[in-house]
Amino acid sequence: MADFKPRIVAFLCNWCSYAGADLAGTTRVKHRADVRIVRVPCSGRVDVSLIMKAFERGADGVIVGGCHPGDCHYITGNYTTRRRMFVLRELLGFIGIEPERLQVTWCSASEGSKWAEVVEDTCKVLDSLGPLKQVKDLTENLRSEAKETRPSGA
Amino acid sequence: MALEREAALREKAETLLVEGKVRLIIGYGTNASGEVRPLVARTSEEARGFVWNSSCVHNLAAYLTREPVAAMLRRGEHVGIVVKGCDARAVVTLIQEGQIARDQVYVIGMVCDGVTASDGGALAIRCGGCQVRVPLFYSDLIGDPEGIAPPPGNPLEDVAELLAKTEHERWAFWRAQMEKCIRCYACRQVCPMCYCRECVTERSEPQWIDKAPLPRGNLAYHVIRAAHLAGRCSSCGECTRVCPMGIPVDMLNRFLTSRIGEAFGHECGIDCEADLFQSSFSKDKDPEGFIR
Amino acid sequence: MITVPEFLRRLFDAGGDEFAVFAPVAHDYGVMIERIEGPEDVSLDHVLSKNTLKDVMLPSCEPIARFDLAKGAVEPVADDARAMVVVGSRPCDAAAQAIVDKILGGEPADKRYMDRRERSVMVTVACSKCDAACFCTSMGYGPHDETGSDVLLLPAQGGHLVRAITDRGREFLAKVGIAEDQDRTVTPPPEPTRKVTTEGLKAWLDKNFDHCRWNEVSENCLSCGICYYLCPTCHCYDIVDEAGLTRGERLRVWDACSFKGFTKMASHQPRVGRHARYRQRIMHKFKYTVDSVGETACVGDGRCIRFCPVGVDITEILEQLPSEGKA
Repeated sequence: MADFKPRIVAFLCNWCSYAGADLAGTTRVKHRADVRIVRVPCSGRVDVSLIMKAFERGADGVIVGGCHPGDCHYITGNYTTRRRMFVLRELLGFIGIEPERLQVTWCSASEGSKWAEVVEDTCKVLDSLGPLKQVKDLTENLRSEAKETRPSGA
Repeated sequence: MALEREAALREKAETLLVEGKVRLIIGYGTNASGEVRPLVARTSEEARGFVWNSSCVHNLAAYLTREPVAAMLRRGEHVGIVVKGCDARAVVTLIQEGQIARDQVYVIGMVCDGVTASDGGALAIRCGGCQVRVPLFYSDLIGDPEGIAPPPGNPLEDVAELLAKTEHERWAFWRAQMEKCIRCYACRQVCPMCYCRECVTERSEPQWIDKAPLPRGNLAYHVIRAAHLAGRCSSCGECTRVCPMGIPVDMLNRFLTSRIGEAFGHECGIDCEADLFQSSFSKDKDPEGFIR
Repeated sequence: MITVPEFLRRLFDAGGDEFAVFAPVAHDYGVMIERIEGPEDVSLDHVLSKNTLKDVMLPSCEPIARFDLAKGAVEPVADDARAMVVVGSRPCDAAAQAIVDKILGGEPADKRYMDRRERSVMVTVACSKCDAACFCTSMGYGPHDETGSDVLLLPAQGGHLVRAITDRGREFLAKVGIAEDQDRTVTPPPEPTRKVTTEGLKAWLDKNFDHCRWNEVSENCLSCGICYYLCPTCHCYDIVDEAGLTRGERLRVWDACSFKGFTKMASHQPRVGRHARYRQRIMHKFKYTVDSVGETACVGDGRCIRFCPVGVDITEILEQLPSEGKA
């Protein structure tokens, strides 16, 4: 576990959270480097398929960043994000993936320090949760050993 | 009583067709062995083939968004459909979502005693506790709505059982299910709410969901589909019924439906004018304790 | 005379690790033909397994190559080189596999599939019962038919008679030390009640691609893949690459002409409506395969009828197509 470095993908909205993350950089606020950012026009663009793809392809955690309610550049995008992220976290928990792996944050363009805190806290959460074994569990073996119909080995 | 309703249904259907109120009616009929299946009637003679009994399990709303009915509706024609209470929810949601116009669909609502599980005899689990034995939405109601009580049973028993397990156990359960899935897409094709012209599953540039029927891609498919159905699913149970591999597909949907009901007070398919769950919001009341 | 469990026991005793053995196993969602490690779990009371021999011969998902940037290599995935013995499939499935052999064996031959067929031994257990969906006799086969089998186990009083049908079957029996039976009385085969006549069908199909009847006969069909995936003669597949950034694999996976994304990689799905896609099913099975390899690609196993969730019945449709006007 000591060697484990969580891989985090962050979907950040262009107008607020991405700018906030950028500000963290320009003001030299330190935070862990385990996050990779994908810029989207609005957090409302972040569909479950993006998040599932991130988890599927090796992310241990995902952060979705949007504008504070009332400040969305597209007026109402982040309100729908709020509902959608609630649903997805519930669904993840139901299938046995820790909902804490999906972190959602409202982070404005001026909140560079907040972004750094979000990254640090998310990294700490993932340090204790460990790698997303469930998905790695699916990719290591093409089918479980129990019933094998294919003649060639997995 | 089912026979009385069946006779009344046939009469109603024949009248609608003869009077030219609808071009066709989607209902239930039987094959030569007496097994119930969807039937489209265009003439009063064909309408005499309609049946109504506890094997009328299909959600016929699926046909409203498929061709040729979809094309007919686009041309401004009218169609009729036979619905149970659960199916009626799907029709309402389609109206809410702008897929069909309220005045183009003549909805024949059936008072329903529940459908039997596929092995015959016992009431399907999803019918337990049903609040819509009398459909909430219809142009015409067949059957006496007086004194109709929900059937016994708890349709969320399997969901509760799974929730009582640990995260680890839940994962093991769903992993085993995802290993069975062969990606026949019957669950999607039979669903009235899956009407996207290009499903995210078919998107290839970029590709979001693996095509191969391996557990990894299967998980993405089912999770994404369940999330896309959040707040829209009518709990008709068809997806689970049609799965050839016995995967309890609709458990994901029923779980979400109950959580959305608890957390947002939202129930789908009740009111044609109501806002949709995924495209509306409450500025003050939507839960956001999980957001930092 | 031998019982099927005893046959399997002798097979495992004699073959050990030499064979990969496949047999029907009961699950709560149906009996499935799958790989078994021992004779204990086999189910024999059923009419027909839910899955077909496709799961064994042309699996739903099969890696054919692996690639790894770190190794700088693309490695073909070798097939298991052992003989594959299927015990407990039915005559319809064996016959269906023989039809698929003709299609996939035609030039250019599908090497992976044909190699596998070279190594496979079909020990078919003939039928003692059929159900309402079976119609093998209408397609020129039957519950005790030999087509495609290497060994046929025929039901008799107290067990099954062992008959070698091919040289491969004879060699296999010799290897596992099971003797063929001298003639004894075979229990008469059951008679499927479902019958369909295909007289005049091919001639009608040859001339009526655009007939309006195609719009009528498959109204219930919702274009899922069940009848394609569970059909023993359907064999369409797709090749997909699934990978991370640095390694992955190339897989052969089942495909179905009913899917909207069918042949998208070539350019698009040419059959735009549901009726056009169902027409393709009928045409491919009852005309195109007849034209190309001289076989009707339907053996009357009835799975498409048994498992269609909306009651589409191919035998009903085959009778309606060339008939005069809708009833």
